[in-house]
Amino acid sequence: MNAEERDLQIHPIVPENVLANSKTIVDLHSLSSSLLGIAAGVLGLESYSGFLFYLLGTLFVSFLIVTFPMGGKPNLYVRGGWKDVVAADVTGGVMGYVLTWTLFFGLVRV
Amino acid sequence: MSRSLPSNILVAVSSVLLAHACYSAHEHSLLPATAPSLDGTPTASSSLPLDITLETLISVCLLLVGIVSSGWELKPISLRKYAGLLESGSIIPGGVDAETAAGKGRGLFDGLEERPGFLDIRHQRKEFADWLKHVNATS
Repeated sequence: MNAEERDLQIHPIVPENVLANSKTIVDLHSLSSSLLGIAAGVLGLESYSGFLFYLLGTLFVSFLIVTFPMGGKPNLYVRGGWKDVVAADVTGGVMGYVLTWTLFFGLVRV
Repeated sequence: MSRSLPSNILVAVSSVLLAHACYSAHEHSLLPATAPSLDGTPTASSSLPLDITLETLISVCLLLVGIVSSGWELKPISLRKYAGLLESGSIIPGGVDAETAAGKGRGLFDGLEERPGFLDIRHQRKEFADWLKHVNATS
């Protein structure tokens, strides 16, 4: 029994709550990445600056998630702490972001 | 998820702001790409004006704040804390009505509290023997 298993035995966790929390966080991230895509399209960002904008926006959203629903204590709600909040569903978030980014870029500028 | 009134207002106001910024950017893109300036030389006006940029950024930030702060519920993952909240009645687990769970002290092991008691196997054997006797007597 290694250290992590022993820690789980001493401080057991509720798997359903872990799943529900990560689903909520992924929902928030995908919703906010669509909104960030709208902003990037309106601002007319292109290539690297657009992805940099997404990176900054995701960090901002993660900060908000840690601040508001978690009350500044991410370790209570996510196993990996704030790193898991930032890294939740990056690929899906980028896809939603690029979708609305290109859509609004085309809508506003063409 | 229960939305609070301030975050609802925030979401509504910043959505209007974002829509206005979007419309402004569209209108700005309809202007001719090169506009004659005062001294007659054409200057490029393709980049977005500062007010539209600021409006977009501020409205998106406010919208994100409004969405994230609108009452998303997370449950504690450690069993100790979760069981404590269940027993004190501040969290009602899914699948249980709020009315039936009105009393406190309904913890994780609620099912064990309401299980049937032990079967009295001797009594049941006596009943079965009586029934058997009755059936044999009538036939």
